[in-house]
Amino acid sequence: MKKVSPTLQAQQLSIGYRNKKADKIVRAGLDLEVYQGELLCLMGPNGAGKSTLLRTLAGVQEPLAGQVIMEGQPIHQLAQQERARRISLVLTEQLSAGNMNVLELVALGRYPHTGWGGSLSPADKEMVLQALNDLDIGELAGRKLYELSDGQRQKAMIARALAQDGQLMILDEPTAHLDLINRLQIMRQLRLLALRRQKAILVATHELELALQSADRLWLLPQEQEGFLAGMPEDLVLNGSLAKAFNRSGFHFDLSSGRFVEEVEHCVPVYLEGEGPARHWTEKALQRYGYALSHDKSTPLSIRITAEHESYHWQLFAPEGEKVADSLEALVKSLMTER
Amino acid sequence: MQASAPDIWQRKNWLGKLLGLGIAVAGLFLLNLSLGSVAIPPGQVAKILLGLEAGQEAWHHIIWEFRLPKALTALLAGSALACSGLQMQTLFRNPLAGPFVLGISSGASLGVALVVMAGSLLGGWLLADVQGLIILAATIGSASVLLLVVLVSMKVRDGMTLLIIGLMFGSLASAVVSILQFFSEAEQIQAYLIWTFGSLGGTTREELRLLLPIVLAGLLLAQFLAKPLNALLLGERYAESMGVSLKKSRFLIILSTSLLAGSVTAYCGPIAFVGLAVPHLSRLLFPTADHRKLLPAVMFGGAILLLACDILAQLPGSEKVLPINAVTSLLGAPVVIWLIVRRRNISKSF
Repeated sequence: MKKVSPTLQAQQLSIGYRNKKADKIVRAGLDLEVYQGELLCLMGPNGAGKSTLLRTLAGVQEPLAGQVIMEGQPIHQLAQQERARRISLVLTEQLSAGNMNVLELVALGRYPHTGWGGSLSPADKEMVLQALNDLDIGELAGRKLYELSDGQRQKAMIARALAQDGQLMILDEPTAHLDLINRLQIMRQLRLLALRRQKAILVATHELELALQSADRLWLLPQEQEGFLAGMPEDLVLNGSLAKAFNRSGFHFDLSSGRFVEEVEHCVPVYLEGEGPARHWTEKALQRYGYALSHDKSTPLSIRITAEHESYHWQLFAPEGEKVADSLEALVKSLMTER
Repeated sequence: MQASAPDIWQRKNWLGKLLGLGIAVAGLFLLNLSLGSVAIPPGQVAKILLGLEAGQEAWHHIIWEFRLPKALTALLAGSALACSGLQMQTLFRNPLAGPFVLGISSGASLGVALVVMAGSLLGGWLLADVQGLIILAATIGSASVLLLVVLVSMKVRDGMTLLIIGLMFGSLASAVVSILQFFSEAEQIQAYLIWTFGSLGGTTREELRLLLPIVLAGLLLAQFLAKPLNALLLGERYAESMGVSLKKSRFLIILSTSLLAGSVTAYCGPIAFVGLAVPHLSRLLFPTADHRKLLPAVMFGGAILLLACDILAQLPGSEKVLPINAVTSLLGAPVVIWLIVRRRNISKSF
């Protein structure tokens, strides 16, 4: 296989803040690489240094040690305009430019490519249209920013960053405050952009499930000073790195579902008989109320799911007797009274 | 739906509106020249301006020596104040910002107060040319505050800090003015107060030779700043990420504002309201965020507002002249309130 050189790379990078007395080091000894065409998700608990890392990689903040190299050049030595041609950002801060429309916003992305007057060449206009269409917001072009929903506004901001046309796009929590469908859409669009336009896209996010679903690679910044992990999401799940990175008392990472679940003490064993989606959702409900599934048919508590014409019934067998519930809510209530 | 190529870029109707504003400026300019304590028909005014024989000999004198300098001053001051107001509102992303947020007028008033009120303590030597001295003092006062602000702007990172520092300079200056007032005679306080009322009529033709190039330089500089101003609408961090050099742009924006607001304040006193209101009115008329369109719009808008206010201030047909500062607010405030109430929300257009 041909060796691909990274779009952006750093070795032994220390990030943090310069101070007169003593530098505040947030992270040290980071080795990292970003390749074109990949969607990278940066994850880590609050306060782990995600924003500092993003700012350093974007060239907004100077590293305390080491260098961030893009195409053979340290990005902190690049002129500001040159850097803007290579790296574009989507930040968390809210815009307050009400009178601006989507077209004007996206066209601003061409800023580092236009002359002093800022007028757009036909090629610039083509780029702006392409960015609008890539994000499926062509019909919003004439809308004012204040008329947009949060999801539409975020797509417009991404289109602006795309029109800036750097090899690297850095997004800080682009899916925060969005509903589920918008979150899925935005991650899917970012993935497609990485693939089709061969961009390197780095996204800081707290959405574990979304990241596991869509990222080509994950970067994990655990809470402790030490340790920075990079790899394919599935590998990080299987080798336990993900579980370790987010380790907090009260929760554990469930390998099979890829989710963090609440640890419940004093589990009561229950034998469950039944199949399909009804079984899945019954398990979820039982787990939440502190029941653990047992494979032993002779468990004192047992439940049998029966399905008839898409209506479900739950038969509960307990030492005290037998009951039938026609909803999970009713089942849980009966179980609680058995305790 | 796909965004298709040419149609979304075609939004030329702003040129028509701008032309309309230009015609309004020309009309008001002519009207401003023709109205006053003596009414001169606009046709005769045009003749006099073209150097032709018209009506009475005195009219030539009135037009060339008094009304033309005053109308030109109104035109320049209106454009200058509105243009610097727009720049400040964008730089600080604050709808309440105006040309004087950085303490320009406070610096000027401190200078004038020192001359008018503390001058007597130094002796009677300044009585010879009070008008010229006031202009000098206002210039020195606003220039020194601006120099301080520019120096600070090169040190601090964010605009909010700069805004607060500007406000503090303003407070310091007004504190000194209060102390001076406390120790002054009634006549001196009145002389100072009259300066704060603002006046367009005090500028002579010779003074215009200085005011005109300074204001033109400031307006020209502003046109070159349209691109970074557009980027600054997204906030400083986005602007930086797009390649805007914050320190350089901020320095140039403040420089342009200083030239514009500083020179106008020196010659006309602190004229309020125009710089704050005209950018908002222009945004309502031109629904765009593009400074390449907004800058010409506010320049015309400012000129219109100040020319109209000046016509009202000189109370056509009478010898009395109202202070221009009172008229701008008296006329402008209801207009702005009406527009905001009608449009419900000004922050949407800001």
